[in-house]
Amino acid sequence: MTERTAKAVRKHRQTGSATRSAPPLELRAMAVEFPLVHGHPNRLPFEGVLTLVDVASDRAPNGARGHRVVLTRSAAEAALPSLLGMAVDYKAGWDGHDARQKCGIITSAELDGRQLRVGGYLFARDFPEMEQTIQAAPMGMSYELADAHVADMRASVWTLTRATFTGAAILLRDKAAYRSTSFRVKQAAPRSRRVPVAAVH
Amino acid sequence: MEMQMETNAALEATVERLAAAADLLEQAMQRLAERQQESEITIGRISATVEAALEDRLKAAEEKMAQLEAEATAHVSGEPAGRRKTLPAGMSTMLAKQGVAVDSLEAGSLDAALNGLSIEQRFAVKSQLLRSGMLA
Repeated sequence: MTERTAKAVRKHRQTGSATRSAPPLELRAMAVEFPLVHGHPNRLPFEGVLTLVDVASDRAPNGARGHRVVLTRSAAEAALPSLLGMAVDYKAGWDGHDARQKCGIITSAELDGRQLRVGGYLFARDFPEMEQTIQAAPMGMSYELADAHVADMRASVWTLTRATFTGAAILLRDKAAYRSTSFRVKQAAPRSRRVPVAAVH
Repeated sequence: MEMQMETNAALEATVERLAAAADLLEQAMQRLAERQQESEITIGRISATVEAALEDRLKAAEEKMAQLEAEATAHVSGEPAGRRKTLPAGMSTMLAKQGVAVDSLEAGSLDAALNGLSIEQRFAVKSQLLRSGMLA
């Protein structure tokens, strides 16, 4: 198995094509590139919207003492590197986090408008029951933050100015503090294209 | 020539003052940023799931309030909830034999109807009627 893990940081700045007066669309992305293994039985690619930036949560997140929260764009941008390599987990009942039930890994993250999109792999062989449930109900995502800085504790909506991502969870969309999150499994590569990654002598 | 030198000196002095002012502004900005960071509070852990415990507590409080309101309404209407208005079968038979209709009891007519009973029996009948709420 190769030890090389390439880290690519890409910054795209695309000017709006529809109208000249529209502000430029800014996309910030970051990814850990894994060696490609066609037909890997335990790698099921996924993508999802983890959260929104500069938007108040629909409901109070756990740990926010009943306050709705806003994750600022600058805080999310600064925290993007902390998201890579973190695990996705799920809880029995699909209604929260179980940090010890890690069922996948995040390998890419990007800020697209107000959406913080993530991608990665689920450990599909280790959690065979997961895929069926995920496709049966509308699923969302939830972030887990550590050391979040709150600008004003007395504000009715807390503004998070700094934070570190420590993980994410897949859960029923109506259990997420942000109802606009989403999660879906991407089409896996066909197994017939399986190729060896290392020669055995 | 002399005048030009004076102008240059004045310009240099102005630039120096501007540079000093810029330094002061930069220091002030730095202090403000530090104070802002100090005033921010750090929260150990936040996860973007619905705060279940809070919602459960709210639901329990709402249920309790509804229950208390229902009890208060029942109390105000003067009809204690769940109070039975029934007599034991033996007592009803005894009253029937004396010609007393259980549905239309009045204190005056009851005394007259119970004349044929002993004092002990009258006490027993009246206390039973009081307990059952049929006699005020």
